[in-house]
Amino acid sequence: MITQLLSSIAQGVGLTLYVTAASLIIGGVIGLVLVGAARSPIAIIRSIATLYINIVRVIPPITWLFLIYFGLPQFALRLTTIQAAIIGFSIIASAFMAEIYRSGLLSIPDGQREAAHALGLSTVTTVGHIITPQAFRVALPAIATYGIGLLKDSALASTIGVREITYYAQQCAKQTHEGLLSFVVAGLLYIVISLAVALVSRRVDLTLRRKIGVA
Amino acid sequence: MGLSFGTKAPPTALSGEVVVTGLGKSYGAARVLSDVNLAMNEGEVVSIIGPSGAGKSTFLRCLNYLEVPTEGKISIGGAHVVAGGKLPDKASLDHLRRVTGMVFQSFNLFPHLTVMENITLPQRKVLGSSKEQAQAVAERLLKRVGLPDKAKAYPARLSGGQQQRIAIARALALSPKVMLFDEPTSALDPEIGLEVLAVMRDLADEGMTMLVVTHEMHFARDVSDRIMVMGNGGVLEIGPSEQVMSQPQNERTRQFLKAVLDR
Repeated sequence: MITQLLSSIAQGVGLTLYVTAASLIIGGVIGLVLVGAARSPIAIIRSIATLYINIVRVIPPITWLFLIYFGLPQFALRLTTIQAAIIGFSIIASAFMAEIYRSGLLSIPDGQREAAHALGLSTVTTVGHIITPQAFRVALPAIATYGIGLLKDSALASTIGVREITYYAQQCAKQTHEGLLSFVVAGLLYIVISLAVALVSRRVDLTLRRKIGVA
Repeated sequence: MGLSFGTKAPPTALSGEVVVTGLGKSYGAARVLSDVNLAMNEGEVVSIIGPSGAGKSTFLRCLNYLEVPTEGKISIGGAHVVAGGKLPDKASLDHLRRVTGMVFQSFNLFPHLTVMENITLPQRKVLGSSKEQAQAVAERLLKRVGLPDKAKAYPARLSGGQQQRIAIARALALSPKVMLFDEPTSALDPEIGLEVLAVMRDLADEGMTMLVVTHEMHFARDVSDRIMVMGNGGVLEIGPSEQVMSQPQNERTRQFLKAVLDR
């Protein structure tokens, strides 16, 4: 029984990973733009970025998914369930990633920027070669933690019909009446994926730390 | 060797490698620096001493615009800037930073880059040097500061004294005309500080024009040509090192020297 359940529910692993990874990457890129905008010299751009970050974070993820999947068709925008899930989670991830980047940037001592200025490095070089690599290394553990959080949130995509792990678990529970076992199997799959992500990020983090000793 | 002048009458026509006239800085009503004048010849070493809060570091950091002065003029090695409370145009700013090299109290090496990369990156980005050129310069300078075997190390693996010597090499790699030292040994144990002071002494002997904010009175007296004493955001006095140390003219200088030398 267990092996049958496992093989059915494991069919969802692909989409769980896909939705999570795509949203993390797209959100991560938009987050970069956001953190840049939040530090813009132009006040209106700063305000818009800050407002976006704050609004996005206070609306529950499931509300975002429903808003996009059930709301956007009213503007003649028909999305597949997977597209809707990725858009929704990307929006959410962008705001959280922007905050993670911000704290990474704040952790870089002023002296780094000052040394770069004193050497005559351009702003582009300073940001690209000095500030960003250090901020990224500081932010890495937080990014991994957020990635695992997003992995768990991706279960919400089952509510709009994305065939990921929780979706299949629900289907199995209905068909086999093995509710407990179905969701235990789903839970185990999430545990395995999370552990793998955590292990990899920890390994990378330790390597960087040992090498360069950034705080 | 140096141009010497008193503090009573501000000099009208100054000349030299470094010419600073009427430099001042205010934050709103708070005045942190006022009417600082300084002229230095090429190859001259001037130490800036004085109690904390005197404006020594602020003055030094105004010279390469890490702090923005609100009034006065700066001419260093052919770069000219008239202060106006904001950053100058990009060409002037680049020029000013190109002719000055700075060494910080906290070293500020880039921790994610190796020693070699710390020294080559600025050369490649600022001077447009090739990788080979930049590495050749770096190797020569690493020898000069006595750390030829540390090229591949990351800064976190080095002692404070070693990091500061690398920081000096990094600044020298851009061939500045004037080196600015902002309390280069204050973060180091006295013993470790000596190795940094030795490098600075060599640099002075080789004819580098140097402006050094320091609490090292021996260095100020023995290595620098002149000492500038600052207090309360202004210049208390400036003169040949031996004279300032043994016969200070200003009462506040006398108090300060007594306090530091009597320890």
